[in-house]
Amino acid sequence: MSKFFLFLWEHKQSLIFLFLLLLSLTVLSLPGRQRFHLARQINRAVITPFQMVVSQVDYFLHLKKENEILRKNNFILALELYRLEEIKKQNQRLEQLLEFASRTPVHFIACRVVSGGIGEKSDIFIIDKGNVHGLEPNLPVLVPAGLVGKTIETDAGRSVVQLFTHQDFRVSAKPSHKEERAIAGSGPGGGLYLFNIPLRTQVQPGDLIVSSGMGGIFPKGIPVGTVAALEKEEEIGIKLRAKLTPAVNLDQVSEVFVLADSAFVSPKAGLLFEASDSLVNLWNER
Amino acid sequence: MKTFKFIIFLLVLFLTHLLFYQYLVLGEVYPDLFLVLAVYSALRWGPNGGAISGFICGIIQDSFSYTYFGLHAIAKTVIGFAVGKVRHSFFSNKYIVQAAIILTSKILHDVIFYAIYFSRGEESFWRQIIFHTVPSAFYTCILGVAFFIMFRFKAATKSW
Repeated sequence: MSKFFLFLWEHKQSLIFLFLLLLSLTVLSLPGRQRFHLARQINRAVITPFQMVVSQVDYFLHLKKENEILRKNNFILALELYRLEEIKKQNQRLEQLLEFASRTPVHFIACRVVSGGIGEKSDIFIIDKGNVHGLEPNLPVLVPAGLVGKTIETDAGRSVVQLFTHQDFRVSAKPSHKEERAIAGSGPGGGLYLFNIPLRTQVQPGDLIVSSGMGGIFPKGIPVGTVAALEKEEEIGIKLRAKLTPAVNLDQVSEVFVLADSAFVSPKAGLLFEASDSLVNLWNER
Repeated sequence: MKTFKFIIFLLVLFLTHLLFYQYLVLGEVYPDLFLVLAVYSALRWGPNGGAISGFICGIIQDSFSYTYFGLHAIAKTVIGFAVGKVRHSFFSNKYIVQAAIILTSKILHDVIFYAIYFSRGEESFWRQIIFHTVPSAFYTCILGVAFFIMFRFKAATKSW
């Protein structure tokens, strides 16, 4: 027995190294949901408290400058609003004449990105609003330029946004002004792709790809990206895929809008991971 | 070099990377002060210190990448251990040697990282290494050595 402990002691360097390596490999091979919860726990315990502090400091440092810009914009928008109010009244009168059903207004929640990763290839954002602000999983996250991702987990005051670069992210998409639906999502090397395009396609380089409104999470018309190039899917050969230039540069995103509680969004449409996992599985099986 | 001062140095590297990462990124050139931390830990405390600090930093970095959770940890554990193993082979108190160690470590780290990351895809591994890793490695080694110099550690062999 003592020989065994002596052996362990003599080889402690290699044993510690092997143990850490095995531990890393174990977490790398964990199933999606367990991996997600472990990563989230580490993130919540170690990183988020520090980054919340820095985020607050950064927020207050830029508050004055931001306030000046907002005042200026407010004045311009007030003039625009007055003009639009008149148009709205006219529109309502016309809708009544045509007996259109009234629509629920779109409800956006503005959020600040608290943390966007501390290494290459990170695929989530932590935002500063959560359950108490009306956020829940599976809500679309946007910026004016286009799609950013969707919420996948919400705490009381914070939420996790799965970015379009995440391997499990999928959105039903189509070219703007064309009715040819496909699936957009992260592809080889973390790039954004439009998958499942038939060989005889109308999709061309330069086309703007927008969400199609199918799938229950993303409303129709959110810009996803622009087609950069079309290429054959080597595994299948009878389908094409399009490499997209994302509509949104994630490195420059500091504020996002969560589309919540609107007539377009059904947050219960997919439980966490369920919908996306099934798509990824389909993809891998082909 | 006093242990306390060295721990403060590591803590500064850790917090700088954790809190100011977004301000340190230059376009597509990403610094990796966590790797610098693992390398200096390995130079000071040997393979165990390097591997353990590499693992901890890697797993924290991985908490932002749910898809490849554990990948940074593997790469940094290996680098920390390797640098610790070969630390007596060179006179690592010279800044130029430290810079060379960090540069090589970053390149090897990314080779391990992207070899696994791109294993399921068709994206060019070498393109990533040449156009992203090499500039990031130079930037990381400049930052790492600059932090080290800032702390004005004495250049004495015994200090490691």
